[in-house]
Amino acid sequence: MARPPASTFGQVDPTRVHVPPLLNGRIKDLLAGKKIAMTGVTGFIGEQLLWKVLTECPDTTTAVLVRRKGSVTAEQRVVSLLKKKIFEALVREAGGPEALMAARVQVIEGDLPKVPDLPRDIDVLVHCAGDVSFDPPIDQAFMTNVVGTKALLTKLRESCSDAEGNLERVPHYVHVSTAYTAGRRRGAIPEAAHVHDIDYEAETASALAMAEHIEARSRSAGQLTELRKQAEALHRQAGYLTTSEDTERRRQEWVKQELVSAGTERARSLGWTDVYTFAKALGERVVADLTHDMKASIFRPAIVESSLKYPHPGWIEGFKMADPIILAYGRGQLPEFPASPDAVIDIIPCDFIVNGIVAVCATDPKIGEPEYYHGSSGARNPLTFRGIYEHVRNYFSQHPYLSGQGSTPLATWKFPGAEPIEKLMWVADKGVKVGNKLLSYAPRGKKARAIATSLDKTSKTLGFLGKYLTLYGEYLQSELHFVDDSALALHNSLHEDDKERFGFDSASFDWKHYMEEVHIPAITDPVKRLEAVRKRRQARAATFKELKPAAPGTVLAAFDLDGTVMATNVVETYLWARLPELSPLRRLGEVASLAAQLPRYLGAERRDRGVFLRSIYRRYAGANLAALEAFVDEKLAPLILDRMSPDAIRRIREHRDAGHTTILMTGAVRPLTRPFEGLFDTIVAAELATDEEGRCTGFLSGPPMVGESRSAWLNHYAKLHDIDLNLSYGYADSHVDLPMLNTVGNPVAVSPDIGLMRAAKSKGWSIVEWPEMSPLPRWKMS
Amino acid sequence: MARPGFLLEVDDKTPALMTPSGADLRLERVGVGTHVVYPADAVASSDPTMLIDQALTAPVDAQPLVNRLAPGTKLTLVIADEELPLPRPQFDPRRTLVERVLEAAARSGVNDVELVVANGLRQRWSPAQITSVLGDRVATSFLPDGLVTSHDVTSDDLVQIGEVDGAPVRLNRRVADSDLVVVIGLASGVNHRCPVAAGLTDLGTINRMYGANADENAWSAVEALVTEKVDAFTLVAVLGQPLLSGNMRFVSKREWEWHVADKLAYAGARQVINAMPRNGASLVHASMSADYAIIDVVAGDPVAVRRDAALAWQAANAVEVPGSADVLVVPVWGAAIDEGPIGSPLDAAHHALVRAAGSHLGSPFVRPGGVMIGFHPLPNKFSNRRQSAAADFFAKVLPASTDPAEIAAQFEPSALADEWYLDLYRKQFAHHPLRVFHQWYRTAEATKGLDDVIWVGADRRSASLLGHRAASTYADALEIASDAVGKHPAITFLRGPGLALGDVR
Repeated sequence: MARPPASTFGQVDPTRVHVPPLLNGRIKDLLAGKKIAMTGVTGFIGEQLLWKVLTECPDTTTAVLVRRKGSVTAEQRVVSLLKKKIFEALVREAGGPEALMAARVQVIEGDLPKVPDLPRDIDVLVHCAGDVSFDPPIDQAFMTNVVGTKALLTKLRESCSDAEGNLERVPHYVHVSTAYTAGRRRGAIPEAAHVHDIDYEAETASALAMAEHIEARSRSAGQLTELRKQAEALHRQAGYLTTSEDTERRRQEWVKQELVSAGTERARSLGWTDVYTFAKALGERVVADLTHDMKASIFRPAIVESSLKYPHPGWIEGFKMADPIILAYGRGQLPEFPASPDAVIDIIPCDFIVNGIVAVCATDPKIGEPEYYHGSSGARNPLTFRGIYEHVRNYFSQHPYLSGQGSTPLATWKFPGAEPIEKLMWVADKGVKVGNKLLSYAPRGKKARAIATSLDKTSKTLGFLGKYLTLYGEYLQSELHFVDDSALALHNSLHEDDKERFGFDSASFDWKHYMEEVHIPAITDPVKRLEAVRKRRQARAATFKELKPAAPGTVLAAFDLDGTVMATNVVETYLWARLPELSPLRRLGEVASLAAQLPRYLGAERRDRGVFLRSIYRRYAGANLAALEAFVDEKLAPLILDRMSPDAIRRIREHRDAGHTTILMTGAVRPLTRPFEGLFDTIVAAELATDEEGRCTGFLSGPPMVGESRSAWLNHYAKLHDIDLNLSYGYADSHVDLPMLNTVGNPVAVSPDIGLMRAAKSKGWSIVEWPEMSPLPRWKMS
Repeated sequence: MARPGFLLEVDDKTPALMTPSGADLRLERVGVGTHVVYPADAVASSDPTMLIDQALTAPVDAQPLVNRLAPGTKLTLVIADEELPLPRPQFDPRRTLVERVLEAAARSGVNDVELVVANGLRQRWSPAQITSVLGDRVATSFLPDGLVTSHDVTSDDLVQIGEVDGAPVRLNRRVADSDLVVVIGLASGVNHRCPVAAGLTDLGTINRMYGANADENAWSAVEALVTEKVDAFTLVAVLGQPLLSGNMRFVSKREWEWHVADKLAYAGARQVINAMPRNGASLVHASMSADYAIIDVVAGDPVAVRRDAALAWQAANAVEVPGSADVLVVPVWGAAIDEGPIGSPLDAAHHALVRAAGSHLGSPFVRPGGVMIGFHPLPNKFSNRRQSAAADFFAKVLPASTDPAEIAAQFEPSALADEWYLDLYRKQFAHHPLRVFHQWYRTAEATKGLDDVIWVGADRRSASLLGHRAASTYADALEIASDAVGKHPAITFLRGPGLALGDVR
């Protein structure tokens, strides 16, 4: 192992260094009879902290500040927290979670920064609530870390003061911060207040003002136009409502993004990596200022990962920073990662942090002189990125992910540095964009869908990498280490009997054991189980299911025609219907002129399906409607029937047998739907307008039924006929039909285009293939 | 007179044999000692008018037709519509027969003439079909006035002509009301059905005659009743073997007689099919039709005519085969079973097991406990319009059961009541849903005596749905069959495309 950074400073005269207040007895005795209040007990560290205090300090009581979540009260949340496995022994001993709460856990319902009045008997307040996200919007970061901390301290002061505001008792405030409040500083970071002269009041005020400013900007005409255009590029065909819904979603997303980057940029302009650490650093300053006449300790953990020993080895809640990278590597999704191989990744097991915090709670710091502690491993037991890579690789070579025929191959990282990888990612990102653009012109089909799926997979990996790079890029190249002399001194002062259960000396464990036997199994096993469950669930079709008979008239099944039930398009059916009427020479002319116009029609189809349909139907001008109908009955019906998918017919008939109302919704003209009259209860089609002589004018008598008109029609129909849309079914093939599918409870994408395939995948709808299986080839019929 | 059919015993000089499989045409080498049954040579057709006139003037067991025609006669021409002949005739001989009868009727001053197609469970004829079979002359004179109709077995407008075993037998109204019925038919195989009983009665009667619980008594009782109640004069043309013309001529020729042109045509057809899997097949097979020579015309009393026509066909097509073989090999050519180029699995199985293997004089081609090897890809493809019921039968019924009795009890009633099928039958010229059931019953009966049915180059799922097996090559199929028939089985190979009549001794 490399020489730890701390050793480079040589031997130091112990009288010259700051010595924190030490422990002079067993922790349970020091905390006996005291009441410890905590925030954030529903979080990762807080949960174990509560468990530790309740388990190891039998004579100590606690109070927990928990917020209400929707209709679930704070009490209920604490009950369900206490039902977790680690509290089992405690709850059994107390005779139920409620009994345990009555005896030792006082619940205070409230939230930061609107803190309620605190009980007047708190001896120690541990504040370990806070955002875990590294990239919160700037206003949110300040609300939680600065305004919230201030509010909490104000209430604490009130609870310890008399009516005039004079302190009656001096409480001990323990603030859990983060080691990375050091920001972009380099080298050894001491356990002391960071030196800076930032006015947190002014920063907070401008952060909150920024939120209003950005919200206002997002509503400006220019911004809304741009967002609408983006939404239209994707959803124009589906209709205005779908587009506007997407525009609003994009606006909110934009506001969030702007606030996040505002935070990041402000933090960087002042020397911090991101707004999370920046706001936390200002939070520390708030603590220092507001506890001038109280006892205060600030505990700064580094990267907290699963527990080494307590409550059990590998105890972890949720995913922490490094875990997604580890999992993605095991799945073979990360061919390379842009980190410096020698960067120290300062990981510390959760139980070390909890032990440290409890020990700090038991100390008695001087009034007005906040104590700082680092909960970190980098100074004396450093783990480099390359070290992590080797442990992860070792673990996965012994416990590989199984995929298909065998184990997932593991990538060998060469650590080329960030730049080549960023370049590669840039190229890959452009490639995906170009690919998607090209794909939007490709004819639909299984191949196009397969390409789209692989593009989506690539862009997902890219997105993942990109997100990690921007979020954690700096941490992966960091060249700082956190001095933990105070923490070590505190550890060394532990009573001999406490050393085992309360120890937190970060040099006391071996990384190989921790990573390969404790941490990585802890995060991969549940994920593997989860994935197995998900795989089983996916094997079952979600929305394409066995039909159950329903009371007649309560359930409907709506089918799209072109591409879903029948393998044709309106251009082809137009030619079928129109050509036989014309003389051979005019037929040729008709086909030629249609072919010449085709690019224009296709352009229209890309923009708006309704416009496209109207322009095609203009060509029917002059056709005799009655003759057209007779021709369909006599000549076209067999062709049309033969072009239907047999699976579609079978499904429609199954719906009818189940007593469902079957509805055909199509933009095709009414005469062409005549052969289906036996299959559907209701047919909604485009009506050709005629003049007095029964000749088509080339116009429709109403707008064609596309996009949102379909969902509106279905909603109204369901209301009139008392049909339960949630139990109903919808079948369609293209992105335009999204509103129609959204209306029903069981939407099915049939041989979908790429847009609908993506929508269906994200919404968990079934995708089925209904191939046309006509024994006669296409050219014979047209 | 065409060369008669014969039995070829394969030796080491025998060339590879024409073995169609669906749309694919290939040459397959068969083992030395295999008995190959060649049907009689196909010859080109010639003007049959003389044969017809002779038959009409000298009918069997009946007065000449003209004697029975008088100005007030209510005359109905019944066009028998049976499964054969396939490939479709280029020029349907029924057209000439109809025209000659109509001319005779016109000469006798008969005014009240109608044509009824005795299609039974088969698809009703569309105007296009009527025109192509009966010709422009008949179509333009009779179609516009609605005087050519197809029988509807589900119609309410049928006339009860009597009862058999307590069940009513109902008949097409026009036919029942006619003074004289002239039945126009073709003989191109071993067919014993009376076209009026099978093609013009009601659904219940047809089901009693040919359904899952069919018994010969019901069948002969209905035929007897129909013969008694309907005053019929039958006119049947006995057909020769199909002669494929143009670039498909090689199909009808014996392999060792192929000229360079035939070999080139064969190679060309193969290339087209291989190059464009589906469309190529259609290009070659799209207008697949054959020329049929008329070897004899028989007229007169229905029963006698059926007997005599069968004898005439037998005389021209019987091939003596020494003993029932262990293995029967039947290549199934798509054009010989369906309008499409390939044909559905149900049609292929029915053709091989019932029509081809059943074309014998009582003693079967293959011994009980033997094996049949068929050549067909058995693709799961059906026409939505014509074969909707068959498609559902294949997708829903066969996975549940292959047993006729069970199928008849469980699935037949709902299929018969299915509005969509009936709609297709009445309006879209689809087969009646019962047809596929009957087809399956016959197929299942024919399979019962066999140890195994193996399809070369077939879709495995389709084969197993039928209760059969699939093999990738002919050699593999023989290997599979060896479990039942040993390593050195006696093999009989039915060389198509036409049917030979096996005189197995």
